[in-house]
Amino acid sequence: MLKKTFWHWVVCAIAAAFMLTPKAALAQQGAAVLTGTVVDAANKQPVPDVVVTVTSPSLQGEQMVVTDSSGLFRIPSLPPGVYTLRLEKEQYRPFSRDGITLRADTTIRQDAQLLPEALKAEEVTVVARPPSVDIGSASTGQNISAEFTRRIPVAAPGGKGGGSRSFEAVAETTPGANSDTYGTSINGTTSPENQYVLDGMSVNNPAFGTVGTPLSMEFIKEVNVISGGYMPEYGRATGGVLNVVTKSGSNEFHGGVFGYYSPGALEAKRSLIRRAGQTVGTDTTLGYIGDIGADIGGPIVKDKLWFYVGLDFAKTRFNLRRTLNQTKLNPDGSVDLGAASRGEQDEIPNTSSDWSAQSQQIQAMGKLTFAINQDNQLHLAVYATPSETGGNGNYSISPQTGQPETDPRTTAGLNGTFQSLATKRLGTAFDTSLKWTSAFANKRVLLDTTVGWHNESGGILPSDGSDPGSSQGLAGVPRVVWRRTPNLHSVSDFETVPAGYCTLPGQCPVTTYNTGGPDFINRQKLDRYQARSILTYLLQGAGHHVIKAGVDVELMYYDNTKAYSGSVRYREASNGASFTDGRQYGFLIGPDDPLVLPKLVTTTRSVTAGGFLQDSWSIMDKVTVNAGLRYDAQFLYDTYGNRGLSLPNQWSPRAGVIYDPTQSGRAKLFGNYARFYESVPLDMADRALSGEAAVSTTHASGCNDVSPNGPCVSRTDQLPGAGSSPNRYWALSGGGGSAPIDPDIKPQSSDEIVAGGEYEIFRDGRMGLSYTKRWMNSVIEDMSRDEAQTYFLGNPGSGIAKDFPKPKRDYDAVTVYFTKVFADDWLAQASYTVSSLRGNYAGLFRPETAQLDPNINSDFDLRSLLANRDGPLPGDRTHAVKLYGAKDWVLTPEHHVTTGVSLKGRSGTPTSYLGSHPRYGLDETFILPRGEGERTPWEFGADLQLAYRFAIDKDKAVQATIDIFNLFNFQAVVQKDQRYTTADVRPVPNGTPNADGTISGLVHSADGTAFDPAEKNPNFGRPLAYQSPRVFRFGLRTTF
Amino acid sequence: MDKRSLVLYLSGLAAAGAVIGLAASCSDQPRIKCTAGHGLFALKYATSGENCGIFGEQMGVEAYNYPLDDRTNVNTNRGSLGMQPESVDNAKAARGEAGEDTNPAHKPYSLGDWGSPEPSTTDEFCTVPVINPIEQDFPAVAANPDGGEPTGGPALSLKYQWSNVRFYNTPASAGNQMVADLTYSKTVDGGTCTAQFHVTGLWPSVSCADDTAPDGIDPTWCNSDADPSKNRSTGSGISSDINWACDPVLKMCVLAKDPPSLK
Repeated sequence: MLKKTFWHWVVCAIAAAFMLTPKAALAQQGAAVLTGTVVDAANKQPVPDVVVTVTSPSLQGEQMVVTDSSGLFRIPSLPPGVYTLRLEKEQYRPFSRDGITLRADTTIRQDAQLLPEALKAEEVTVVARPPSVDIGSASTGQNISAEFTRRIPVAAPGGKGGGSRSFEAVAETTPGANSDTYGTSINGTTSPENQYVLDGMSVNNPAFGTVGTPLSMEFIKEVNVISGGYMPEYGRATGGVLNVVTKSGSNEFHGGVFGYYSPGALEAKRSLIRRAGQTVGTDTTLGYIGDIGADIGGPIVKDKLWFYVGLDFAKTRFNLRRTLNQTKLNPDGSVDLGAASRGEQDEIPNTSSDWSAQSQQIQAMGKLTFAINQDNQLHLAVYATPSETGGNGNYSISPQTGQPETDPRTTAGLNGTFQSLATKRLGTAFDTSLKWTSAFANKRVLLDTTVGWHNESGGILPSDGSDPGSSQGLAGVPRVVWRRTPNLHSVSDFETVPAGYCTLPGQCPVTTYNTGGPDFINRQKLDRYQARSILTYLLQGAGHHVIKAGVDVELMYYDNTKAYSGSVRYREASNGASFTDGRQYGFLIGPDDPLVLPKLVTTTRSVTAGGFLQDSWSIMDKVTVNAGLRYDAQFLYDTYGNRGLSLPNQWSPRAGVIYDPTQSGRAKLFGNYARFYESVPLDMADRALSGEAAVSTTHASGCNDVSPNGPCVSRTDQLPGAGSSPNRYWALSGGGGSAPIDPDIKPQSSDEIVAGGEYEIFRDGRMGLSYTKRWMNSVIEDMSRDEAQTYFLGNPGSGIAKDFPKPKRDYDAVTVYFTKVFADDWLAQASYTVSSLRGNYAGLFRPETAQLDPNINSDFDLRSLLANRDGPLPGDRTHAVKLYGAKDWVLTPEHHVTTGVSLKGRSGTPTSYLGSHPRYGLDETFILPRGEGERTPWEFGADLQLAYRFAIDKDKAVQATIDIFNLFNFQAVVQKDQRYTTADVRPVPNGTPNADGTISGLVHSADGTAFDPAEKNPNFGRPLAYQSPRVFRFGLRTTF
Repeated sequence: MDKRSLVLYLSGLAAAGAVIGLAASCSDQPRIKCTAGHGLFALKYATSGENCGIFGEQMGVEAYNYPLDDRTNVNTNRGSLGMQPESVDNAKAARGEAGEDTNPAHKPYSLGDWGSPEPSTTDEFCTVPVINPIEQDFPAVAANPDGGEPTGGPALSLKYQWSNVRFYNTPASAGNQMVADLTYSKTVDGGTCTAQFHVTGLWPSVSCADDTAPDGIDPTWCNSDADPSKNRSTGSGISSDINWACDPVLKMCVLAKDPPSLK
């Protein structure tokens, strides 16, 4: 066994990485390549030594190469933009072609024919349109340019990142992409599996894998969403890659001032959500969402040093109206059980109260681009996105979902006191990166080196801002969770209701109710230091080769201070006789000798080192063969500084073939195989490797120690446990130490095959068809054989966990698409995807409960949880249609009207029958096989943008826009209540529901007694959420 | 390829290779720390001599942790083990609060530190070299005349002296098999019986009793897999790689042989 320290490995890994740095060459990620062959128009022979020059507003100076003996030129490392190509050689007429659009991460072919001076022009017709098919790669996905996001209504207000219109919200427009709870899911995966790359640096949250820097589209030039088929230079992701290229300065001063505002007053009426069995109604409406900002870029020294700065301030407010609602009565005065099961209720007069959820965020970025000479460039960029939400009597807005923390879709709404439900959340992301690109030998050797730092800090605090672990303020007050079943509490047990209401049993039920403090709170600090260097070598030999080799080292740090307010959470027993410490950090030193920890402070780390080698070999301008291998090794360290998990030997082979039957860059047929490995976020090092020691005990009820008629917290009021144990009163929960690890654990990976074809049907317009197949190999999860007493980490279905089911996630999709980039005053993009997503493993979070604990979710935790897990996964949307279009109407040279439209339709998501598990609680048991419930209906969306632009001169313009989201105010159900019962029940293996909605053979977990249909959640199958209502966004922008 | 480029290229490859070599050299995972199944073990008492009428029983087991010096978290390098047999609990429960052994020197459980934080590299066993004996003297308590608790019992002394306490610890079998030697002594109304046992224990304790079967047992209750045909939606909780047996006398799932009792 190796006893090396963390630092030993860090030093070694960095040293190894930097051995390469001074010598390597990099073709930067997010850059484009322009290639082509120059032939003599008369004899069709290749012309060597032609001087090829490209210029662009995106480019400092110009780039120049000469064609080789086969007439080929290749100009790599070009920032995305619109280019002009110039070809010059003695004895030939100069050739010039403008309007060549280069998108990030693409290789565009522009062949050319040079006219000999000696020839009469009329004798030869030169055909040279700029083509738009990326003939260099077999990847699938979509380039989303600023042209697109400015003209198409995207990033709807009220969605995730809607306030500042951040980039990950627009990724949803990609074929095969769907929004999920924490971002955008790509090809059936979950959003934390994506790699978010900002100007070459990873900005994933180091603890959870979600996007860490939600930069506004305002500062972004292009987002390249690579959904599959990517080359070895991209790694550490089992989802897609969102490659973001931010704006830069240019030789002219350009900038703008902009503001957007979505007033709540114009929001269409929302469908109210009334849950049967839930008296407390929570109605969320939009208050306002707005942002205001400015940016400017220009030269400090022309063709030498450019700058770009941008600033945006966004503010969001939701209004929350809380009401109490009583179940309808029959004419004879008894509770109308039928109405109760339909959630039909009457609002109790004078019980409504108004609350709000607010957030504010600042986004700022600055960038310097310095051309040392034609072959060397430096880019220095800084991004900061501080945000604050909640506090001062407001609820907070979850940064991960963009919705109030009391969102009735994921919580039971305002079912408790403000102090117990409200939190204040702080979050600041800060990134800085320095990139050096250089070229040698007529740009045949390239070096690209990037170093960067991603930092996040923040936490979830009590609404009064008190510190986790403190005994002061709300941080010192325990949460009490009230949950009697089947005899539910009445809301009148907790709140005064007007006289004459809630008098009958079952008239004002509350399934759960919360009093006391805010429960889980934390403060955290996250860092990622990254250094990467890529060497590119252009080689001629049996065709043309682009060989790349690179190294990439990444260090992640996670400081987390975790606490439960008041050090404990009290959970009521279903019969109300006692309360159990559901959550309490601590451990047992000896029999009945607990050490309760007011807070748990952990510091975990990870080091990842990797490298790749790939060759893109184009043969006879017809076929390109991409082949390569990537290697990564990741090591995670626990809070004691010990190496906790080693994941070396991540060999990712990638191979693809692209065939251009036109030999002119206008079509391709492609196929690609790839293996992707996951970069394990630090949450698992924080929780599983470092251990979350917890103790519990049971308290008598009926005291006023914490809440009226609540738990009796004194030690003398503890109730003894059952069974033989050296401990009479206390028990360990959650193990006590770090989780043991399968010595043969394998890193998590998935495989993918993509194949398809693409054809340029007219200038700038491409049509294509692609097929994608993805499946999981090994999955890392925590498991328990002893019903949550102890956990171990392994690969379900293999190694020491071979008795657990093998994780499955099989994705098959066929997409037909059409793309027309913005030119000739219009753009269009259309796609239709038919797909299937089946299995028992959704990914790095659990959509059913929104649990986000990558690699330690509850999916495989308990053997008693494993039944009925196979079926259509929540991300299974059989059909998805996405149509986007925009057109500029030039009224006069000064007056322009632009219209943009977005039309979307997708089939519903599967639903299941979920029950409670005795140890894991609500919604963890699949009573029937996954997907036995009725799917939600199709969702349709129609969004419209109307804009008027007044062009003062060539560069100056004023533009006013109106975006109308959900134009027709479609109100389809997007989420149904899948909670069949709150009772602890056993799964019914391979069961099916009866016609009357009952389930044969359903029994209680504890004693095997038959399930009483009265215990069924009356709200089961009913809507939990509807589509967001129609909302307007007004925008004003001046540009110069 | 010019010379400079070639040097560049090869040195890049060499560096990448160095990183790969470095990473591949540390592929091992950390070893498990000594622990024991939390809760009830099913113990089988084997002897060739006197058995005092006891063939085995259940025993509550708990693994404890020492704190770090600053008491902020668990010290993962130091732990202890506590064990309390069911006979002791039953005797206490039958006599109620009036029947407790009030001698402060007498413990109803045995407690001892693990000899090392990790299992032996040769046989994967964790040993508790020193562990206190259980000594409990219960007075005679009359039964509740109303028929409720306490059910009462005669004066009873129980003594458990454990030695060679060893738990098998691998990531797949985290302290769920134990083996020990036991000197057991029971004094009822002045008559003492002493027995020497070789004890094997399996965690968790699972009953394989079946009143409907002719021999009163159904070994399939020990199966680690769910059996929908018998309406068992979960398995027994016994690790699937353990070689178990359903003991016809104890009617409990026990280890088929001395640990490691693996299939």
